[in-house]
Amino acid sequence: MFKVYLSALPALVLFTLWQGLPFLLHLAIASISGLAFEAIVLKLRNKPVLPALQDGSVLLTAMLLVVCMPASMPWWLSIIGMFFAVVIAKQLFGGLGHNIFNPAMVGYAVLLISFPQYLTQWQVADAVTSATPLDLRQMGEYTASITWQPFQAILWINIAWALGGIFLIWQKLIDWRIPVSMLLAVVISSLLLQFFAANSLPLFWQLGFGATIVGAFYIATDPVTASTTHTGRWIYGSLIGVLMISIRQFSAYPDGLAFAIILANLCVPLIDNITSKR
Amino acid sequence: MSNSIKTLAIDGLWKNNPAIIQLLGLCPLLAVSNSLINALGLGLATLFVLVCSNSLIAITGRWVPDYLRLPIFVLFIASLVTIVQMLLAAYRFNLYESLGIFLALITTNCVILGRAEAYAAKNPLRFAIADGLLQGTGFLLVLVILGGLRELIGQGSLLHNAQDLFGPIAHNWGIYFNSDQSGFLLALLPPGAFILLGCLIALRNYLDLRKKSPAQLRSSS
Repeated sequence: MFKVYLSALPALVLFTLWQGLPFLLHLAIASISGLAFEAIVLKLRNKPVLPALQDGSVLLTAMLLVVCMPASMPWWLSIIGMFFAVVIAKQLFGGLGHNIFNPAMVGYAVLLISFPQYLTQWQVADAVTSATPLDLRQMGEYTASITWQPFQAILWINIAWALGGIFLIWQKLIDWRIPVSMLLAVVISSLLLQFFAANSLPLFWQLGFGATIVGAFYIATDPVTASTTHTGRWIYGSLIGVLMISIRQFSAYPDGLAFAIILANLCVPLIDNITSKR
Repeated sequence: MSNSIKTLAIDGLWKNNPAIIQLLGLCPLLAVSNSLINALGLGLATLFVLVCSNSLIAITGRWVPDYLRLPIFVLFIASLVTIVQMLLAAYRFNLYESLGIFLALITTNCVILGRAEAYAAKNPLRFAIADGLLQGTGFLLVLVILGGLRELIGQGSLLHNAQDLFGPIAHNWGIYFNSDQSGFLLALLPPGAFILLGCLIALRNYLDLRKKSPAQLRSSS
């Protein structure tokens, strides 16, 4: 688990430089409340508390939840998100290893559905908040003349995530099939959309913004909720990619990663069942 | 099955509650429990239909041939639902609008047909009425608790639009805990209904388990 944090460190540092100290505050609140929820539920279930707190999975959930949300949000949002992530999505399904859905994405989806007003405004420069290009497209305000300059911090952070992910693959901590298949699916489906659909975003925006990169390397690869067979992982990754681009294009939400991951999680038992050798 | 009013009451309200033990009639339970007044309106309508259908079926039950009983019971229930629907459309039009299709769907509510089959057709009239009243109240209570919780969490109010059910006198009955009526939106959406109903069922099971002796509790957990 230590290597996972190490790989995420550059991106987290860039995030702090970009969003300022509130980001660290959110991270701390989410981590502490997540650990507290985990301890309370384990105590209620008469399970050993300390080993579960030390395995670091709650901290990873907290990190993945907080990096999905702008630091300008109110502080109590991360507590609600962690409650749904740890208590509802993880412990009620039986704790680590038994959860069907990715906890961080359940927490994020709950917040996105319930408090959309806080989750779509990102601080792009000092005291200037703006929607990201993905949000702009949703509001019908995206034009080809929007350049990436105001958003370059997001690009740098995504490059840091990608480097961290490649480090994880090199260390054999995650399976390369999931990120590769997911990114391939993103490229193919956004190119198709560009040819056939009006008002679609260029490939560069689809890859460089939103949660595409962090999702491909850090969220979709969660060993508990991802598919377990080689073929299954190809299917699982591509499913997430196609669903995410479709949700971005055709739904009312700017980014579709959380919903895509949750929907793909639902399919995992079926995928595993079909692709496992008997 | 014992025929005392007391066992009927324990069964309907707690031990065999239609909503959280038998898990019957979940569709209206989850769909219209997004505000206290909607829940109360639908609960009362269901209660009325249940009492009337139970008594009709207890009276006529012995003349209905066994192979025809389902269509006949459904016809009874559907006519009663039509009466309720017309009454609401005439006197409480706003409530009628906000309940929408779920008012008509009381016909297909399994609680009503279930009680007709399982109890009313085989028992004397006064017990059938008591059974309808108590099972209906059990359903109404769960509906109201769920509706109240969802309204409170989802938009920070209680009894919003009370005039829809109680008439102009109830114009200022609404209790508002925040001014702009924004809240935890998930509670108003279908997933919130499922999560909260799950919590209610868990709470009831917990209270039941606690009554058992500690040894039993340990063996069952």
